[in-house]
Amino acid sequence: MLDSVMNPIAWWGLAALAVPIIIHLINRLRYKRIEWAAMEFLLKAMQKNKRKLLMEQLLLLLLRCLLIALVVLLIVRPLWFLGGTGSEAGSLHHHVILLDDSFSMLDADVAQQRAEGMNAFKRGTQLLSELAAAQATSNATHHWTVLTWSNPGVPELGTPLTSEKSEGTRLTTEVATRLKDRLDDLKPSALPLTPLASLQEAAKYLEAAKDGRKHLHIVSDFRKVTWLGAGDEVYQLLADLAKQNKVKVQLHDVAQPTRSTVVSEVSPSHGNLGVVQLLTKPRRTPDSVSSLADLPLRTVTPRLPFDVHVTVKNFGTAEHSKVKVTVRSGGVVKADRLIDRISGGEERTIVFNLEYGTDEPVGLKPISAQIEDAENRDHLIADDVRYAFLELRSRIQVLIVDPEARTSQGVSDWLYLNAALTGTARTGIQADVITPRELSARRTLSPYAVVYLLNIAGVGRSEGDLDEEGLRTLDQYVSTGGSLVYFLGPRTNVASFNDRLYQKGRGIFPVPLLLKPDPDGRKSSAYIDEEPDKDDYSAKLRFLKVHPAFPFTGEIADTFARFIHINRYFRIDPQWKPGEGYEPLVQLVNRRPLLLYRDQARALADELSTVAGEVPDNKLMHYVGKITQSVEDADKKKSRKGELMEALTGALGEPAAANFWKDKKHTALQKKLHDLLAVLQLGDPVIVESSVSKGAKPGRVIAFLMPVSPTAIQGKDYAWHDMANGDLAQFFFVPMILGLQEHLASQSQASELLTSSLIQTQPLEIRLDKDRYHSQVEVWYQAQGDSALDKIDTINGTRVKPLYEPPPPAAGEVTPKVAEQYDWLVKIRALKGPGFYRLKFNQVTAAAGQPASEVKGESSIKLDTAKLPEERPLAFNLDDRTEGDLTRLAEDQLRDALADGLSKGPAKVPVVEAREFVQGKTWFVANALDAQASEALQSQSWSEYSWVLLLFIGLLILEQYLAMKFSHHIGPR
Amino acid sequence: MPTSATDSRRFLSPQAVSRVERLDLRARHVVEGFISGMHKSPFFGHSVEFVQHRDYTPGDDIRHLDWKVWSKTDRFYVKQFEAETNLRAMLMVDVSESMRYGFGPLSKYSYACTLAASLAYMLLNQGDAVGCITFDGQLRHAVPARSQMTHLDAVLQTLNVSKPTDKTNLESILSRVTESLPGRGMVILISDLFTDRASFFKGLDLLAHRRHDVIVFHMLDTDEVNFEFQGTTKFLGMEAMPELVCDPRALRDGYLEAMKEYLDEVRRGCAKRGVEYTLVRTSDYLDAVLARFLSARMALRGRK
Repeated sequence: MLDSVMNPIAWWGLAALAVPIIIHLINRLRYKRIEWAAMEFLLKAMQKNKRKLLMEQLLLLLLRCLLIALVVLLIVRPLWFLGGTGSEAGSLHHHVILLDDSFSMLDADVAQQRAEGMNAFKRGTQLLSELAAAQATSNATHHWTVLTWSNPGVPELGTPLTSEKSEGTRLTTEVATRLKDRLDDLKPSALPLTPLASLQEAAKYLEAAKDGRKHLHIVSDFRKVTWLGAGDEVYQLLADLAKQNKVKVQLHDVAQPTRSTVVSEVSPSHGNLGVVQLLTKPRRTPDSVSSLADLPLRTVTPRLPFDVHVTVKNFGTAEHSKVKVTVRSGGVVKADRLIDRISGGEERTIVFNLEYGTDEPVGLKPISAQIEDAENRDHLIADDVRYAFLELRSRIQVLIVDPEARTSQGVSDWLYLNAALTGTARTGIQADVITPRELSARRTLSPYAVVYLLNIAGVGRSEGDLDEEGLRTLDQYVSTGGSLVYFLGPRTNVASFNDRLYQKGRGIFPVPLLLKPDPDGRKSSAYIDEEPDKDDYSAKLRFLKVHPAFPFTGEIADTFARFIHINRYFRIDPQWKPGEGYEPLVQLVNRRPLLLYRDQARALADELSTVAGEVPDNKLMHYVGKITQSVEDADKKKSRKGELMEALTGALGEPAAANFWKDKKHTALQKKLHDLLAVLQLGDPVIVESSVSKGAKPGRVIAFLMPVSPTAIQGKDYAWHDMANGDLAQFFFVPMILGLQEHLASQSQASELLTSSLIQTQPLEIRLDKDRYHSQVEVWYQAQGDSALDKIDTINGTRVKPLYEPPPPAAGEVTPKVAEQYDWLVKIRALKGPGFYRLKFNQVTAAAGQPASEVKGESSIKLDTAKLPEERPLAFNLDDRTEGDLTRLAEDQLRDALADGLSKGPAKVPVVEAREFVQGKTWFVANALDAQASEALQSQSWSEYSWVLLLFIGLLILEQYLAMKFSHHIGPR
Repeated sequence: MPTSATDSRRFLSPQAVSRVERLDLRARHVVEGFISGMHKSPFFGHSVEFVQHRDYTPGDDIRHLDWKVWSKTDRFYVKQFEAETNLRAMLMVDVSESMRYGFGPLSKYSYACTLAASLAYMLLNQGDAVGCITFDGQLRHAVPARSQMTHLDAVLQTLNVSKPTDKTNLESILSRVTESLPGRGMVILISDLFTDRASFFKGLDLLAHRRHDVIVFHMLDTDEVNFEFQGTTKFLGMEAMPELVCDPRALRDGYLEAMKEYLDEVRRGCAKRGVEYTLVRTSDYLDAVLARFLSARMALRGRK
């Protein structure tokens, strides 16, 4: 009733409240005049009764005002339902309909129904069409907004929230017909969805609807997994809408069989079989390294045996027998297996042993695993197939150049590399190992995917040197798009490297190295020594990018950073300004002695301690102590700065001090802390990447400023590094080398996207390096069994901040001026549902025969040449584990969750009241059309307002009685 | 209300009386209509005021012979007294502003005048001396008591001429009247007594002290007694009272209570001083008032 205040008619009506007052005033003006003699007694009576009279009169006035308010209410209510204009009959209703279009809605009853296209989603859309048709012809005015779970931002029917009148579209017969067509065309998405996003959107719509009655319809299959896993927020929102906002919530369960009316009963649900996983893995042999065998296999070569692991799950309760699972490659059945029986809830993994013959055309192979005869045995068939990509290469040849290629004594660098590349024989890589001298004998290096240069001395005449011919060959190879990997080592002649290989940026080595003249002046030793400190467990490395070779993030990256020691490396000339295409990949942290920073840290600790009292609970003082403690015995701690860094990070990130740091007074101090932290973190890059663009196709060069093997250092008990021989070698070194290899060799650059079990969620986000890619990405789709690709979409990326900011410049060190850093963020939707997609990058769209470089203008010419066209395969799969389980939600469970949501939600309704409220409502609508009809009847008969009428009559009688009594009507004498 | 044609009293209702314009006619109309059939006058006795001697003529009552003159002059003279009445009645009619009130056929003032005229006529008719005083805040007109029938005109003139204006002030009037009245007499006060009660009683005390026979006709309008007004009304106070806008129905109970209190006070005050008190409403039949008055007088005479 109170929201009638919002109605302008009601406002006018309330003005009528003034009527009794006006009548009173008019009466006072229109009095009789009597010259009265017996005034004395009148005055006496007046004086005596003044207060009583006033009270009586006021009571009467109030009563009359109330009566008028009631009359206004009785008049306004019906007007209100007319939609404000008053010219139409009936009331105003706002409906927001949330349509579950997660793929579990494809649940069909039987094969025959499926053949007719009938499934839960179809039932839902039909229900909505019928409801719309019924409401369009009813007397009341119905405004509809239809939102899908997958894309609630764009209503299927109704106007978007951003528009001025976002109160939905008024239903007419024409609109209902249009809606029916629209709904008929609608297909469930291939996404696992929760109702939260659409519910939040719906709440906004309902809030935007000013007057009228509000309805929220949710059309879903109400699966237990979705709804119980939806989280508290869904129920808080739903309960809040129902209780606080007086929204009539109607849940339409469109799953079959029809929902039971017994609230405590879980309605029977359909069973479902699904392929929940498809993985290609290297064939597990007794000698295989366990960690490698667990990695998914992405590239195979002919006659390389590999396994396809297919996991089938029975989501239902009934047992299935003789389930035939087939694996296809490019639409051709490669293998099939029969699962004898799979009981309810069971998950079964079957391994298919496959290999490609030599006659198989190389390239990307779309692999799919499918449950056969699903139409006749399964209710939900969308999840009975799963997709993955595999790349078939005839042979991957790499060249390893090592001066020690022909010496058999000791452990040479190339052995480590070769072991990593070919050790498992499953990678399809074949490595040719030669000495630098032998390089000049080869006229072309084009058959090699990657050339590894290990521990070469430079260019010259000595044994470890490249000769001029060899340098030319390499130069040509890189200029035509070849990929080079350098591992430096004890032989490395810095002067030669700088002169001949770096060549002031024109050569094939990406960076100039620091040349440090030796005291005796004979040899130039340019490496930096960092004595390992076994007690230092702080991070020593920083992975600057999520790079194919270093796909480590989070804890794994942290572990590697802490336990890999790089003790000797070459330093990049600090005077050097990086050019375009250069990128450090892995950086050491500052390894200079802690002693250097002691005084600075102490000064900062002192300064911090003077103001730390402003933060409650002595939280900052704690860190002051830590900072001071961390620099104690600094000379003994050598370069161990982890404690100090942790203390600084802690002080800056202390949650209790958030406001403290926001205070402008402390900005200077904060900057000092930040600066120190940055200096501590800033060390030398040890692995760098660069593109060399000299010819038509830019080549890619990666340089490790250290050897590949854990080369021993003379006179020391430690080696250059322990990447390749430590405990972590098999987890770090081998994947790194293989990742590097794949990154440089494979045309599919983003290996992380090749994972065969990619699950489709909301739009897949891909970050692209702006220096390597254009913002535009083409999406192509390959139908199952079809070799042709269709271009279905072109997506433009948006600029986002890069994951890793360049480190702030350290005092005293000259740092290159860096151009603006950003990444492209591309959001990719699987428009055609699960299946095989290709993403094509850097496509030169030669419109009308013109090269794109000319069309795009001067600035992009260089970019175009620097950016290689690339293609990434992308296999989208359904999230079967969350959507495949068709078990349904009992109404009792829903009620519990709602009551819980109500009591925990913003309204904080007491538990008992929340329970009563939830129990007192019908949530599931058994038959929406009947409910609509009865509602229409109800709103016409006004039965809800009968109490207003009764109250009105009662008040009328009371008013008359009191008026008689108070105004001393003189009855007939 | 008895209005049948055969009932002679129908002419004595205030409505009927109000139709008679002239006060003397009105008085005659009232008294004669009323006296007819009544055989005894309550007013008799002898005047003691000697006026003159005249020659005895046979037939004269020898009781009236002045033997002292005969003994000196040997001639028979008969003593003649000033009036042949032994009663001197003074009519005091309140013509203050408050008396002007009246929405009925007769206002309090005209009723009072009619009553006074009727009494004067009746008294003069019996040969009693009647004087008349009209007053408000002060004395307005005064006519000394005379017993000649022609004196009626003078009395009526006094009443007729006076227009009610000022406020009643009874104490000063009554004390003046007390002083001006020679010997014992009858004082008939016709007023609404809307005045200070204390001063009124003080005046009565003065009269009683002189052993005057005081009769009070408390003149009130029917409206003032019953207060049957409806609708919002602005009561403009007469005699410098404030005005008041109110719903009279709401105030009726309080008013009636205050009125009753007042009437009781007046009645009790009169009774205490042996003053004969009669409440007269403007709706009362004049003859009824007169009859009540006369019967009361008769009873009194019998007692004396």
